[in-house]
Amino acid sequence: MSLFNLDLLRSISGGSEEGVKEILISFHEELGSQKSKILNVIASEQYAPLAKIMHNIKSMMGIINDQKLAANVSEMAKASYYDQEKEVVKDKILQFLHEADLLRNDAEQIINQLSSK
Amino acid sequence: MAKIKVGVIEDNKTLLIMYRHYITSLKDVELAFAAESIEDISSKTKLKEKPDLIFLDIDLDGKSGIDGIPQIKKMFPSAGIIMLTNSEEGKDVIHALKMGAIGYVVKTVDLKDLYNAVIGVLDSGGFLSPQIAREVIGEIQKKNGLNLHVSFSRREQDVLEQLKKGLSYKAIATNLFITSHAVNQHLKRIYKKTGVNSRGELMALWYNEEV
Repeated sequence: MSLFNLDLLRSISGGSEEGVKEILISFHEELGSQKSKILNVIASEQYAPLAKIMHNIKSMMGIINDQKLAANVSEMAKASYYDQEKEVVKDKILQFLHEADLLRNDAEQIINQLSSK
Repeated sequence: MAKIKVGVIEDNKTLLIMYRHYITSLKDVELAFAAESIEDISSKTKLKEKPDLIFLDIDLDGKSGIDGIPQIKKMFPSAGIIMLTNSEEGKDVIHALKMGAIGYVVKTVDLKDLYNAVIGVLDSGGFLSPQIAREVIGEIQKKNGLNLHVSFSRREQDVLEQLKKGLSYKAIATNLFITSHAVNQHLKRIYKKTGVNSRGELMALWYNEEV
């Protein structure tokens, strides 16, 4: 079963499989880009950009099936606003990067399936 | 009936693509442009037609959405501006409305909210997502010194919600991804605002519907 809500994606793109593909390609790229930014933030210990990065990711999580993961990302995004909470949320975010990789892999598989049709 | 022309400025490419697809799929709405920045729409070649409404991301890279409102109003004087936001901070909303925005929508994957905002603006000249309306009320009441539930900060409300479920401080800390110390700090502020000295008193206030 896909990690993405494909019915929702079809609905957003007006039933177009090309539209679904375009959204997933962008999701794959954007999540990869945000992941790099997270790693830079954590390596540099300059946490100021973290709130925007996590909110960017949060707003993309509505198309996944795992609502618990989406809710967790939402909490991470909230916590990343607060300086005193960044040290704690950092570990949660690092754990999330593994989930992000799984999402990106699944997006890639669906993109390949749609491309081979 | 002529279609309503809508422009979108959003720097998250995935969201921008979703908005573009969604708006294009609507019968009575037409996409005027989809841009990643305010600078991006300055390039006239990207403009198909003058928009009636513009959805503008509040937290753009480079010039922020709120700071860009005057520039957009100069470019499209007759277009209404609806802010797109991740933030539900009441003071941001009031600032954007003062700058000339006529609506505020929380970013969500439920894209019907975009359509509701378009219809809301056409019907009544403005639109606020329900979460945003609540924050605006809270902000106004805070300024008037009212000691109501909505006068708590967002984080204090988060802690209160957890507290109402009967959770321990440790469980609250885990659920909100904060330390127990941070939970304590939020609670101290809640106690101060409500004039209570303990969790028990706070819960008693809650059950008497005073919080």
